[in-house]
Parts: sequence; structure tokens; C-alpha cells
Amino acid sequence: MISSIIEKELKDMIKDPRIWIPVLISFIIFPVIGVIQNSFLADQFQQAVEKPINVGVILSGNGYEENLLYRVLNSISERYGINLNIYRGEGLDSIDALVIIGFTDESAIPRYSSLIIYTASPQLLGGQVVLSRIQSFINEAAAIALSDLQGIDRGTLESIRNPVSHLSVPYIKEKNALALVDPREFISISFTSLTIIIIIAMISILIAQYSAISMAIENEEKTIEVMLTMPIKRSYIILGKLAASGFIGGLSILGFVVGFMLYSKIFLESFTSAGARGGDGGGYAVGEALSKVLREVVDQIDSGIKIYGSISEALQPNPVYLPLLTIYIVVAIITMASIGILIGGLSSDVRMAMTLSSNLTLPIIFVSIALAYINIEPGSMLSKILISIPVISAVAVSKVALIAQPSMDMVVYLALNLFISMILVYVSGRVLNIEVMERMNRKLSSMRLLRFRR
Amino acid sequence: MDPVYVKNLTKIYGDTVALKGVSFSVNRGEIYCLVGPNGAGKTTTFRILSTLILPTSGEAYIEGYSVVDEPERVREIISYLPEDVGTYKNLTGYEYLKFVASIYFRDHGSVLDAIKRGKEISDLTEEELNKPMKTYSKGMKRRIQIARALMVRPKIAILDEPGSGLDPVQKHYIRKIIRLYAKSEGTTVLMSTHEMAEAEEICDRVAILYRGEIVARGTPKEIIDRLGESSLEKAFIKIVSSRSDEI
Repeated sequence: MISSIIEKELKDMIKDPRIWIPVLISFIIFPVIGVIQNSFLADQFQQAVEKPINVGVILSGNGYEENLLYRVLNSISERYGINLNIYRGEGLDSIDALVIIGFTDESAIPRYSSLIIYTASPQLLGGQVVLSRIQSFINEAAAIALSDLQGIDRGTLESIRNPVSHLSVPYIKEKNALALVDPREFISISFTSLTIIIIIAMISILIAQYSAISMAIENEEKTIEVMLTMPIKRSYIILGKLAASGFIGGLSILGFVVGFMLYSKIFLESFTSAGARGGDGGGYAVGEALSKVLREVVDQIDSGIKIYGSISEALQPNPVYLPLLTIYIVVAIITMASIGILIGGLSSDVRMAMTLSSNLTLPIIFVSIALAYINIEPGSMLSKILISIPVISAVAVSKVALIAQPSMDMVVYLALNLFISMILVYVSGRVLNIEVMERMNRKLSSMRLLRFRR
Repeated sequence: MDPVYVKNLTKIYGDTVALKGVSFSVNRGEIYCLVGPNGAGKTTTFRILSTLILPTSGEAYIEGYSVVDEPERVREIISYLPEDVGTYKNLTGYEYLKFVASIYFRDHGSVLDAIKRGKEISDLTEEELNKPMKTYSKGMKRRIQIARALMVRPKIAILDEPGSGLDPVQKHYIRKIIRLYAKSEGTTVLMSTHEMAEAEEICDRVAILYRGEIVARGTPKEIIDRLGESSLEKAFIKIVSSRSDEI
């Protein structure tokens, strides 16, 4: 019997455009954003890196130093893809940048100065890249000119310009591990963590809406009256709705995850290729000598520190943690579906259910974004409270999904989550009563009426 | 005990007394009608008998089972058709009949038999049954709901205004189906209507409900004769007018 109820719920829900459209969106939203970024943003980035730049130059003085710099600029301009000309008042719209060059020798420190007026527009995402190219171009030329003025050879000049060869090794506190990877890669990891949080928050809201809509339709069409007079246990009706909402919610999660993976692939590929074209696609490797020293240092500090050679190896989730996170998410789904059933049961129509369930959006998104930026100390009171509340706990646990280690505490708090969730399921079952629903509905309607009157 | 037995049924919503000690009983295989104007208490009575709501006081039994104490047993016996029930818009008529049949019957053969009966009662074509119910006209929706209610061979069918909002041709079809089915399957039918002509045509016995009280009962002919009128409608108006005067 229960399978018939779930089948009916699934068929009815999945064919409803108010439900299948959000599910479809969950599959395509990230890839569409990725394709748009790839097509437009990366294209502009590539253009900014590769296109020839027309630069007009004004020398603020006619001294030897200014003319020397102009000569050096001319000699290296081809390598930077820059067309350099003395500016003769042609108008700013005919060039990409206007550079005003000066020279000072205050306190016996010779130094060039430049004022760069560059073309910027909210529509031109590559403006900053063009500016960086011009700055690098002027920097190199000024360094050469100054070394000539001071009689410094090019080798010494290079040492002065780049006195230290930096390499940074991230230490992942939660895993007590070092990752021999480019620290910039951690930016994409933070981005992924934030995205996971947003996905879970969005899914929670969607699931509540799915079940609220499903229940409100039953109310609106009065089909719930028929269901409640059939020889079906109330718990089966609730279970049917929970299962269908959960399944569709799971489908949305799958959609978001698959979509996000596609997005990451599209996004990262476009930037890697654009970076490579711009000459910034070099690898990241710790030299043999440094690597040896690093291992010696690690041995001295703590032999328990692990060393990972790649970002994927460093952020491999713990095999026990993922099932735990999955259960946290399942409990969150059950909780939100129960809240949705409550909302739908108390709503006389779909519009009312949508209005009521949309009120969940703000607090859930607010808490999720706050969680994304708050550093939650494990074992702190805040951490204990957050991890005890279903949905919020799933968001909090997912935040550290890639690095955290499971603990017994997590199991205890999971049990607490489950307990709260079951209370909500029980309450939603109690609400599945025509008299209760109609009474609450009258109260809600009168409250709404009062609000409109005011 | 009669299949349906109601004694001193009272229902109070806040300040409103919807039922004031209603009592009646229905014989096996009978079509018993509660007639009365809107707000008379017909739907409230049916909702109590269908275990949807609880009475404030009084007793109600279906096949000897108390609707208050044994609602699960009552639900196995009855089939309820609310007055303005809609449909699952995204399910096809066939899917809906299959769902209902699988709730009442365990074995596959019985489910198929019930669906077959449902198709016959609804009088919808295969093509229509395979369309989502959101495409159905009001008459088609009502027919599928009547089919749903009767195809499971309930001992007691509780039909609230089965012809509500339908055109005369569709009303006639639904009356024919109810009468035919009640007689052929031996189903006891408890139905409501505010159309006296319908009650006169289809009901074996009638109880006229007015402002939460039964003000007259008997066969349509008995009521008509008792009041010396030519039709149930005229008899009804006479009763209601005298009651209004009293108030």
C-alpha cells in the first residue's frame, strides 16, 4: 500500500510545473552560468591578455632621464604587445591608455613616476588586466633605465627586483597535514565549500516548498478529505509525502552537484587556458632541496604530520565523514519536508503555501551565509548549538566536509537532530486532521486579512 | 443494528451550532437522502460519519462500529464523496483509479477488477482515461470521483451532493449510475442533495434537514402526502416557511 501512495505522490508532484521546473533548473543553472562565463568573461579576459594595446605617452619633462625611459619603453614594447606613441592630443577614445611619465631625484633617490589613464567600463571586464600589462611594461623599462643611470649591471638589477624566491606550503589544521600545492588552489576550495553550503540551503527551501505545494494542492482540491476517509494510516500519508519530497529533493541535490561539477570543469578550464595564454599557466613545484628541508622540519616538529602532493589528495574526504554528512542531509530533508507538510496543511491554497514557505528563505539563507563566514571552533557552545538543529547542522557539517575528521560527538548530535526531526514528523501527522487544518487555516486567513487591513 | 445509525448528533463550531441532536438510521441496500438548503448541516453530518471530524456529542455507528472510537474500521467500510472535491490534476484518470484500487485491494486480480468497474461507472473512453485529469471537464471529474467511490464496492457509500454543479444530462447519468449500482451491488447509499426533484426521483427515504435539525422524514411520497402537496419541493418549502415563521 505504501508503495502505491509513494508512486501516486511522485507522479503527481513530478508532473507539476511548480515542482519539475525548479528540479530542471537545479540541473542546468550551474552549467549555464559556466557556459556564460566561459563565453563572455573568459573571452574578454583572453582578449585583454592578447590584444595589442595602444598607449599614448606624455613626457612631463624633456630631460635625459625621461627620454631614456621613452627609448627603453620603445625597445621592449613589441614584447609586451604595446603600440607606443607620443600623445599629441588625438583624444582618449583613440587609445587604450595615456601614460604621463615623470622623473624625480628627491633626497638623492632617483625614481620615475607615471600617471596612467586607462579605458575602463563596467562592460569591460578585462580593463584591470590591460592596466597590469601596462604597469609591468613600465616597471621593466623604468628598472632598465634606472640601472643604466646608476651603472648597475642587469644581473644585480634582477636580484634587487626579486630578492627572494617565495614558495608557500599550506598547513591544513583539521587534517594535521601539509599540502605541496599552489596556495591559490585553496581559493577554489573555499569557493566550493561556500557553494555546497548554498546548495544545501537552497535544497532545504525547495523541499519545504515541494511538500507545502503538494499538501496545499490536496487542501485546495479537497482530495485530502478523500484520502483521510480511505483505509490508509495517517503515517503512510505522511511517509508518502516525505518520500516523494525527499526523492525530488534528492534529484535536485543531484542536479546541483552534477551541474556544479560541470560548472567547475567549464569555469576552471576557461581560466586555466586563459591564464596559460597570458603566460601565467606555469606549474607549482617545490624544488628538491627545499622539499628535503621541509621534510626535515616536519620530522622535527611532529612526525604525525602528513604531506600531500596534490589538492585532490589533500582534500580527500574521510570515508566515515561522507556517510555521516549524508545522514545529516537526509535528516535535514525529512525536517524540511515535515515543515512543508505543516505549512501546506495549514494553507487553504497553493498561493498561501508558497507565501508561507517563502518566509523560510530569508532565515535559512541568512544563517547559511553567516555560517560560511563564521569560524566555528569545534567543541564550542556555538558549534554544539548549531550542530543540534536539523538543516543548520547539515549546512555546518557540509562546510567542513572536505577537511573535517569525524568524531563520536557528531553521532550524538545526529541522534539529537533525528529526534527533533521525528517530533516534527509527529506534529505534521497530528495536523493531518480536517478539523485542525480548517481551524488553523481560518486563523491564518484572519491574520492575513488583518495584515491587509492595516 | 442498521448499517447507519445516528443518535442525538450535535456539532458546535465556536458560536455556531451546526447540528442539534440529529437522529436517523438507514436500512441495508437503501438510498437514504439528507435534503435541505445550504448550511442545513448535511455536510457536517457526512463528515462525522466519514470520520473526518468528531461530533461534539451524540453517537454514530457504521455497521456497528463507532465513528468516534473505531474510525479505522469505519474507513474500511465506507466510501466518501465530498461535495466539491477536485482531482489530482497531474494524474491520469486511469492512474487515479489504479491508486484507489490498490489501497482497497491487495491482490492484483481484484485491483484489475476494480479498475474495470471504475472505467464502466465513469463511462470515460480509454483515451480520456489516459489523459491528465487537469484536462477533464467538471462533469468528467465528477464521474471519475463517483467511479472511484463506487468501484471499491463499499458497504456504505456516502455521497455529498453527487450531482453538484453538473448540467441536467450529467446529473441524470449520475443518478442512474447510483441507483443502478446500489441495487446491483447491494450498497447502502447515504446521499445529500438540496434539489428536491432529485431526491424524489432517486431516494428510497428522505430526511429533511433544516438549520441543524431533522424537520421531516419518510419516503418522498409519505412527506408529500402528509403535507398535502403535489411535490417534495412544495412540501419542503411549506416546512421551511413554517419553521422560519416560528423563528
